[in-house]
Amino acid sequence: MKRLIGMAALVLILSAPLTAQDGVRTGISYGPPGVRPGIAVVAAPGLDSVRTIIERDLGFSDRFEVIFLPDSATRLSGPPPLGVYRVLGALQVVELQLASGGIEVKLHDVPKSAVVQQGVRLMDRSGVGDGRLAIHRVSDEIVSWVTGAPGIAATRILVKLERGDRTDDGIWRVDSDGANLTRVSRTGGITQSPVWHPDGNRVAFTEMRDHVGTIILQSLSTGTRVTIPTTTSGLNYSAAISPDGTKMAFAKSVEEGTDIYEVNLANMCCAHRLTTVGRLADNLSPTYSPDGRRIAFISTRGGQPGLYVMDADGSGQTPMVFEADPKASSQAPEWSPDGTKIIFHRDLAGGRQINVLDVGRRTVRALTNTGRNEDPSWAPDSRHVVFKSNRGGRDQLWVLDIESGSMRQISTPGGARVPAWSPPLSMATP
Amino acid sequence: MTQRTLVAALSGLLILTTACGKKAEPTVTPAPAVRPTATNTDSIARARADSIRAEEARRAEELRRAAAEAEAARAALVNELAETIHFDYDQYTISSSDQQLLDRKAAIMRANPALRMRVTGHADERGSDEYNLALGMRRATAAKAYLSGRGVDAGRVEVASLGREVPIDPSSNEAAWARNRRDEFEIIAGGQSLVRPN
Repeated sequence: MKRLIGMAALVLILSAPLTAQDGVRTGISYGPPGVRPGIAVVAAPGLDSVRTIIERDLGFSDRFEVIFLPDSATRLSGPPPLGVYRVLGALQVVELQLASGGIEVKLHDVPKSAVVQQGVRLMDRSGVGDGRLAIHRVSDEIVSWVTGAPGIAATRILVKLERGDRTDDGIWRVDSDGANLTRVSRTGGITQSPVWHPDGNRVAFTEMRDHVGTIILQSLSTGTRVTIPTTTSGLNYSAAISPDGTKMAFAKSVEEGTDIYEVNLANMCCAHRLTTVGRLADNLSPTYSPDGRRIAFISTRGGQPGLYVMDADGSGQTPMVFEADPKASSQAPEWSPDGTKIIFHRDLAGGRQINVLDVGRRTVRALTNTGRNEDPSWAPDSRHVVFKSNRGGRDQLWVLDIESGSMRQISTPGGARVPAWSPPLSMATP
Repeated sequence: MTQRTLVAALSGLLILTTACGKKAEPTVTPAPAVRPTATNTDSIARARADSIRAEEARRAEELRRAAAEAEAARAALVNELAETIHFDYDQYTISSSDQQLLDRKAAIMRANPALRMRVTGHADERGSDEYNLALGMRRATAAKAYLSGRGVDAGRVEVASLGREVPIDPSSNEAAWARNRRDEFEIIAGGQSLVRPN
């Protein structure tokens, strides 16, 4: 990998004129400033499914102008006609060839007419089921080759689905591109608050049965379920797992109020309360900073629900967003993986919009203005967020690139709520 | 009752049952030992038996009616106990009209010490799902606190929250939201027979 970056850096030095407009691109060739590099994906016959997935992933990365062509035009019989793609505005062409047990990927730098990256990747080429993850990883590699930034294609999103007849209600997972919708929770009961373990294999969520909300930690690969201690009474929800995987913070609602507790996941013990004002206010929706040293959360101690931050041991509880309007409220925070931002939804004068807090500057910026938008979750690139919106007429998940403002819907049957975006899914993940 | 009349009554009953059992046969051979006066005794006994049965039926009917009335009264009390109360948006303050409903529930609970209830708070679909769970708990607790204030032992009322998960009306409009922001009341013990409060 070091060699790859070195090579990319070398090309960066050679290519002129350079406009590093956002400081993250360490890629190969740039077009005019402010215009995303054009890229096209071409493939040998038999790789249409793989090509379609990669092409879409590159589009969803919001880092390229993907040049979409009909299948017939992208099916290769020899080397890719780079001249044609140059005319179409492509700076990069991804060439996919059949290889034993997978595909060979070549990245062409069009202006230089040179292959700048290549490799064989093992995968199931059918493009269906969980084998799609290996294809998404190729997409992420291409993003990384060209931009130096990590991709988000090889990720999944947990979602609570609510269908009219309730038979399919529950926690599901869906690939980042909206395909491969798969059930996670058991049937029956009410589920809530899905969240990923940082290992990318386990997920936690609340199961509500007989008026008790229990938090379950479930392995996606084996289906093994572990009940989190102290969550077998009362209503326990809004779990968050510390970035090192050793602790879980969650909210417990009992008659006295709602408070945030933390439990040690390593030895499944020692639950203790982090917030202490339950009788006067509700404290919930904890989210760890990526260094694990702080927790952002929601508290009603100021009247309406507002955004607060405390040290991970519960000390130093401080409000983060000051509202001029006493009716304004903030809910559902999530700390960005890069640590610089907290995404949440804010209710100002009756409209719920996704807002982002710059943690360092303490400034807040609204990111949406259409429909009711709630419960946001970060992609691992700290640039894309998924949230629930009714802008299309019913509750569905939408993905927003907060840099470009581009928006796409993840279509699911019925209503979709409380999304949780996974960390990058490692090779070990099925 | 003398022994004679008892015998007469018994034989009368016997004839009666025989007659009933052999309704299809037109002729019945009269018992030779029976004198004409005995016929009178038979008819008296028959009338007597008829009146006993009528009385029994009347009593049964009375019991049935009383039971139905009791059940209706119980059902009315159960309905009063189960009547939902509603909340303003993002609030858990109990309105004055709902206070009257809770006063009535408290009176029924005081009159029926074995009665135990669960209050489940609900929210409308707006706001984070998680906040709505906490809000539902606040709403349930508000009703419990009110009942406690009206002399109901706190140990007899359980609280729970279902947040926005179980709407009465799944539509997305003000009317549906207003119906969905509620406390539901459920009898969890002692509801088999209920005494009306004075």
